[in-house]
Amino acid sequence: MRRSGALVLAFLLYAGAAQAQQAYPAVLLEYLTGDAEAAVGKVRGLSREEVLAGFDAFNFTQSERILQAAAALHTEAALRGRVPPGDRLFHLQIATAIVEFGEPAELKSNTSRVIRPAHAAPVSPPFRNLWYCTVINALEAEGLREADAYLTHALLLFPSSGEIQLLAGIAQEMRTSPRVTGLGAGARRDASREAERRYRTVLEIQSDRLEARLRLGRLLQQRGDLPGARALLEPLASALDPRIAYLGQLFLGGVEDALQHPDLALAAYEGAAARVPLAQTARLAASELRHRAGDRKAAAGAVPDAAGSANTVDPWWTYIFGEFWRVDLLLDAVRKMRRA
Amino acid sequence: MIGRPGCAVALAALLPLAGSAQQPTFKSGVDVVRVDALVTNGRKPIAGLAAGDFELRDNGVVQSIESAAFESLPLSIIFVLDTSGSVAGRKVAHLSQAVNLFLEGLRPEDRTALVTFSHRVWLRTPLVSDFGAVRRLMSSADPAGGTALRDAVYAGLAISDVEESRPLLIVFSDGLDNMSWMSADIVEKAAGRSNAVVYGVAVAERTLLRPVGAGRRPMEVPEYASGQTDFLEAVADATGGRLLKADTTDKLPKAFDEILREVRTRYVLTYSPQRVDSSGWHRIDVKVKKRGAEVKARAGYQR
Repeated sequence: MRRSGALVLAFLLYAGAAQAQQAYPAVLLEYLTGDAEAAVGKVRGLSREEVLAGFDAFNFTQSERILQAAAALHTEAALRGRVPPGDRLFHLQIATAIVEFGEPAELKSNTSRVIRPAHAAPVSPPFRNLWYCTVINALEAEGLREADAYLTHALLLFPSSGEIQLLAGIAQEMRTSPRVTGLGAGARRDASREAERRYRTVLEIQSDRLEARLRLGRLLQQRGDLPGARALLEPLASALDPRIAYLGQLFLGGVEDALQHPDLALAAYEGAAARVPLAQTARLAASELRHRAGDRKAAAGAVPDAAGSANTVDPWWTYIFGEFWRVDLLLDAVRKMRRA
Repeated sequence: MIGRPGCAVALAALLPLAGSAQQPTFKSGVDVVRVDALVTNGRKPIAGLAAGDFELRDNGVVQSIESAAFESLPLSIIFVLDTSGSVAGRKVAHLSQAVNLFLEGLRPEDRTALVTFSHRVWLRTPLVSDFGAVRRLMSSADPAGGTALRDAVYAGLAISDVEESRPLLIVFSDGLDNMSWMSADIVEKAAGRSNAVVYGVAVAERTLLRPVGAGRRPMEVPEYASGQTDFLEAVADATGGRLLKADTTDKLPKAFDEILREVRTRYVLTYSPQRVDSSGWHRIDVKVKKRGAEVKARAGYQR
């Protein structure tokens, strides 16, 4: 028998024989050894009682390495694709309880569910790091409060992780956005400074992390440090990632405009538009520059190309939500690590 | 590269008109400034004024007004309408009703365009004479997403630069801008350069007010968030238009109707600037030589 199959068998044997518990180990076995995609669908289809019976059985299992697989399974069930909010929360809470097992006791738990396995080992530190990155990325696209709670754990556990520092910076930068309401000017300024500090830390750890460079450039632009912003943003024009290249040149256009360099600003906006041809914002920004310069005909002529029916994608529209678009990639990595 | 700095001066001009009922004729190749002005006494529009009744200063220098046309130029209406997620449900139905009512009041020679916006600005139709197209597009509007009000207003202003008609932007929004790239200052300046008159229509959030005292019932009151109406008001002021607060969306048809009635009573003044600089910002002051008359017109133009 393969090792992962043996793990689940061990789980089954020591979990007790109640019928409700049988479906769960079978799904977990399928996730470990068979069709992981199908297993994610099946665990969503189990009743809460079945899942909770399986969850309780972790306390008694002899299977040392089962928890990482279970955490991965419930994380996928919570975050992959469209999931009803109640189910999403349920599976995330299960995954959270599993991952929190083995964390320092002084950390305030993010779930009301608790396991205290007698034999099973906690998830590995690399998995835990990846798991927090995945969950925080997903939560930052929805609301800051939940993301913050997970960030508290992640920052304490992995203070020198560039990815966690980046996510902490994004959470602060979101507070500077008008999308987040109810904050005063002082709180937004503080958030901007804190975001800057986090992004600088990322670049100290990982100087080629372009997302941090992009975001630090944007922050400096907003704060009026235009030469500093330009130095960070200018090199992004040649980035291989079109999203980074587009946003880098869009922000650079704003910097050059603020520096009273309309020709350079226009070149930057046009460069951005060339990298994401159907994006709207850079084209509208270029149109406005032409309008300001008195070329009304060109300004008007650019609007149908910027705001037509084909202009349905623009990285600017999702910039403030962090790197939520990475969640599926991160979930793939989580799946790969299911076999501890 | 960016073109040579220009001006907001119309290149086609109205010849002096003897009376408001006369159809205007046009000449081209002459730098003529067009000023769309509303003249009221209290809230009542004053009709029947001629060029001689106005005094217009360009950067403080009195100008000779060539014509004061009243209801004689076709309208180019550009609807710039919020279809973000907060407008879903009854709000968008009320908005659609308001647009339909407005369209019923237009004349065959008028034209309309439709720009909708959420996080995305969408030019649904450029200026066309087919009012039915705008009706159909509005009836199929599917509100969702954030709010890029400033970017949308800029797009509307950019396409409003049409000759031989009176461009008018009607901008509706029910919330705060949370998605635009352009700053308020940039779009306000674009409005100042434009020939269009902007009318803003804002709708408030409903807030439950709980009066102190036994037996007194809580009541819903309209509340405009700080910053919600400032931008629309500034843009409207820069163009000689105004902001209407509709409080609730069921009042939108009335607000839109009020705008059309008011627009029909506006004058279009034209003059060829004399004894002023040929470039830069020109401040415009318009007065009417009648007691109690108030004039609302654009603040100036860029040459």
